Amino acid sequence: MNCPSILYSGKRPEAALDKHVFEDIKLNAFLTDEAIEAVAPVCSREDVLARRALFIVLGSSPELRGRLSRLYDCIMRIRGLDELYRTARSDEERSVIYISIARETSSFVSKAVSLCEGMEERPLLLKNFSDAFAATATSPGFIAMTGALETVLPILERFRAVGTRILGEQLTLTEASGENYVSRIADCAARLGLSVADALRQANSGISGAVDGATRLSAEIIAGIARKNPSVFGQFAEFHKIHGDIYDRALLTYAGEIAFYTGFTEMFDRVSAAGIPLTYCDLCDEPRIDAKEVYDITLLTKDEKKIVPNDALFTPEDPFWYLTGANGGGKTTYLRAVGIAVVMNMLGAPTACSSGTMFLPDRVFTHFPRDDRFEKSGRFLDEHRRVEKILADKTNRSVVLLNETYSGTDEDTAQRMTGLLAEKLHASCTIGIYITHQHGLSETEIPYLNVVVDREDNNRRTYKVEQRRGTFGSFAHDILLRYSLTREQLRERFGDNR
Amino acid sequence: MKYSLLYRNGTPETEESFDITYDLSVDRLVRLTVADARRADYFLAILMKPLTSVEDIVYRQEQLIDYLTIPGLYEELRTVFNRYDKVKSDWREMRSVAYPGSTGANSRALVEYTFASLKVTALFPKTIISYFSAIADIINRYPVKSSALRGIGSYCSEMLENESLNELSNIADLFRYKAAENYEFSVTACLDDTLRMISCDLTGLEDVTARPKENVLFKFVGELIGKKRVSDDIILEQDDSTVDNTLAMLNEALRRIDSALTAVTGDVYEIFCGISSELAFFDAALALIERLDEAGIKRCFPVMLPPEADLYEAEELANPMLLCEGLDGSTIRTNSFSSSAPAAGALIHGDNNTGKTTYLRSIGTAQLMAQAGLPVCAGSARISIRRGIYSHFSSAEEEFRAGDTAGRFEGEVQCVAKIIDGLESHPYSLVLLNETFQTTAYSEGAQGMLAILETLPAAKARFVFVTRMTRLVELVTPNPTLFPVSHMTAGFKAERV
Repeated sequence: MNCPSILYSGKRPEAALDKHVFEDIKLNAFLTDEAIEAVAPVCSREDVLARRALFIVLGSSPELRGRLSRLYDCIMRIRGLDELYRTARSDEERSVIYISIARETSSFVSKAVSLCEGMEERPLLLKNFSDAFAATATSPGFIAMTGALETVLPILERFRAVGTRILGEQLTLTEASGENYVSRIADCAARLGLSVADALRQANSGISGAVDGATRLSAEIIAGIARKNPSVFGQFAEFHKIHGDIYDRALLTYAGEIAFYTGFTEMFDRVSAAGIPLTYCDLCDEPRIDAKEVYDITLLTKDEKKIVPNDALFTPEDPFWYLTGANGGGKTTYLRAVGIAVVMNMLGAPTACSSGTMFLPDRVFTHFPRDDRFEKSGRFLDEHRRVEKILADKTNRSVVLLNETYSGTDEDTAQRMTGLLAEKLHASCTIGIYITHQHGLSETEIPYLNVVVDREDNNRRTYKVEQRRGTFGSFAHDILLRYSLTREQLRERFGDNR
Repeated sequence: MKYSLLYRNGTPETEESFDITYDLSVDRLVRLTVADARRADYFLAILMKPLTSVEDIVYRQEQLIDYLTIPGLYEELRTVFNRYDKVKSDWREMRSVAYPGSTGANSRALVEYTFASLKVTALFPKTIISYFSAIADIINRYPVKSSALRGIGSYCSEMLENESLNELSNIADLFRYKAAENYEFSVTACLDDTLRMISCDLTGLEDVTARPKENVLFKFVGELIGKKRVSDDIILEQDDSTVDNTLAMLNEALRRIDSALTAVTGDVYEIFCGISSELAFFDAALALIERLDEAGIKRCFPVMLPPEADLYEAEELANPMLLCEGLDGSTIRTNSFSSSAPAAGALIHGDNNTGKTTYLRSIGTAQLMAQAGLPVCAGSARISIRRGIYSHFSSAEEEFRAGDTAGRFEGEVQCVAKIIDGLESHPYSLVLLNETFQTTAYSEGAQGMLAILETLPAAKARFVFVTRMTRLVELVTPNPTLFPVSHMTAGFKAERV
């Protein structure tokens, strides 16, 4: 079975983003671990454009999204069955499980073939995908398997209910019989008008097709069921023997790939619903980021209603910036917003900004405080090792985002190390930001970004970031005005009573 | 369905609380009259959630009248509902000791535990039925008139005749008397497409100790002549894994019955659960009424009107809090109070120590008690429901509320701002203000206050404001047609100016 990627048009690249980058900028709020693993390899410019084409179609076609989502559900079912198949304890069990695997594989292939149905122009990545499965669907082996499924599936249905008698620890297989006590209790509850009746009936509906929470039967019991139905199990064994090589485990890799597209399109819906623009930035060759109104969309996961956007400007002349300012002023939010914009652009997705031009970095490095990464050597040495690794791996086309690096040591050392690291990155024209609380860094070529505090409004945090030195202060204001209790404010709220 | 003595349509999911009992000193009065602290707290909590429909208020008033006029009724109900509310804790306790044995969680232990739990569960349907009988008996024995109690009595009578409840009780009885090993269980296991068990249900059980013994001679002769019972049943080998599955099937089937019986019995039980707690409100109310009667303070059940009627009329209004000061009906001065459209509210001013705040409290306390379904301390009263009751009482002891940087005035402004926010969602509210905004220059305070008072009619709110800011009085007076306000000066008798 040929299973072409829907993320990469060619071979999967070796250079990859570290999964901690996704965690630091909190993109893992929208992507599963396997989706992150699937998209972490840094793709080529051609694949970025190919993914953009696919996202554009997904954005305008709810039908395609639905099909992709159903394809994902199918893969997840196959994955569960695959695990059971590999751990089956008898041939009888294996044969029965394979029937379900074959059914789901057939369903996947059929869904894959019709994925682009009705589309005038198919994006390259989807075209490769559905064409490959169209070839599978017309292969003689696959056609034979689907034909045989029509015979064995109805037979499998007969084994939904097994009757038993239990005396002590002795189990006897018998015929399944009649009404159970729970359904009688549910009927009583319904006649009594109790709200619990519906829940009881639902719980008592029997077969839910649940994959999780089910109990595997012993080989003896399965053998007993097979002994009770020898001809039927003979048919199952025959099916397995003839069609056992149709299923290909390579199908499972689609779980992460589809999860990337479905996770991101769901996220785009939330972003758009919040009134945040999504833009495909112009791609440029020289290391440059120039994006207007960049949003930290991860704040949506905290139900933040009003996300304040900021501009991001990193040029070959001013590639690297310190970011300082008041606590709670939005420094980390800004850092994340820039990181998200860069990474989403690299992944071929639209970025949450109103307009922009961006290059495609070869790597992104982040350094955020994170207790669980400490090794035995302590926080400072751990931080230092991580910094050294970044310096060793980065190129002049990398992006480096540092959040209070070297905050785990004394002030003098922190100030010195912060200065050294920032100077190195600035000198090598690396694009990046360094959030720091260290004062005394003023004698530097490195420009500053500063979070803006509204002096006229009781030092209110505006969450705006500007290129300037910080200003601080505390101010009193007209108290009634502050609490919206002036005559004018009250009239505006309640109308003019006169 | 769940019965409530406090709420006509069952306990509301969310109730708004108006914490004004401290300002009105109602908390002192309650603690004086209700000896039990927890009961007093509960009573105060209910007072802080005023009812907002006439029918709801009458629902409580009717019950209080039943309890006051029918000797013995309240005590009997309290006893039976107290016992009823303990059924659940008894049930929990019995379940917790149902299987004190094995510490392991192996399959055998689980089956034993589940069956023991089922045996405990099986006791309770009959117990609950017996309570329905006792409750119906009490209510039918007395000439109760309140819709709440009559509804409970009818419900219990209907349930006692309900066949489904009896059937439930009969199913429960199957598991009450014997141990698991006495039964052969018929269980149907539901499997998924991969032959995994997804649910198990009990379809029958047979007491093996009641089976007739097999005649050994007949069996021997049968075997000799080659006759065996023909059956498709397959008896399985008892390897560890199969035994585990067997016990898991049985456990699951028993567990499902246990949880179904628990859910249904629990649902039936819930119908009256919590009523004994609610009776604590009536307990406290009766204690308060008794104290008022002892002190010779007049009381009456007010005629309640909808919010839109916008009326407050009370004659011989007294502040019951003065009981805490050692006064009684002969020494507490009463006043009348009347407020209706087009007046936006009442401005109470006068010399120090003339009873302005006492008067304000008597007005607020009557409103609060009326909307709790209680009698008010007055000769007669007709009172409109208020959707919100707010207060701000300035006091010298009041702590600064706005943190380090704010002064007392800011603290007051914060409180008033919260009240104004509340008025937006609660039209037809009552705002009780005592010397508000006197913590800043009176001229500035008066200007600020005037703007706020002028806003209240637009929010359909009515205010009663005690103030010493003569500037405010002067500002309000010149234009009575634009902003009509009742002026009252307080003396031994409050007077309308």
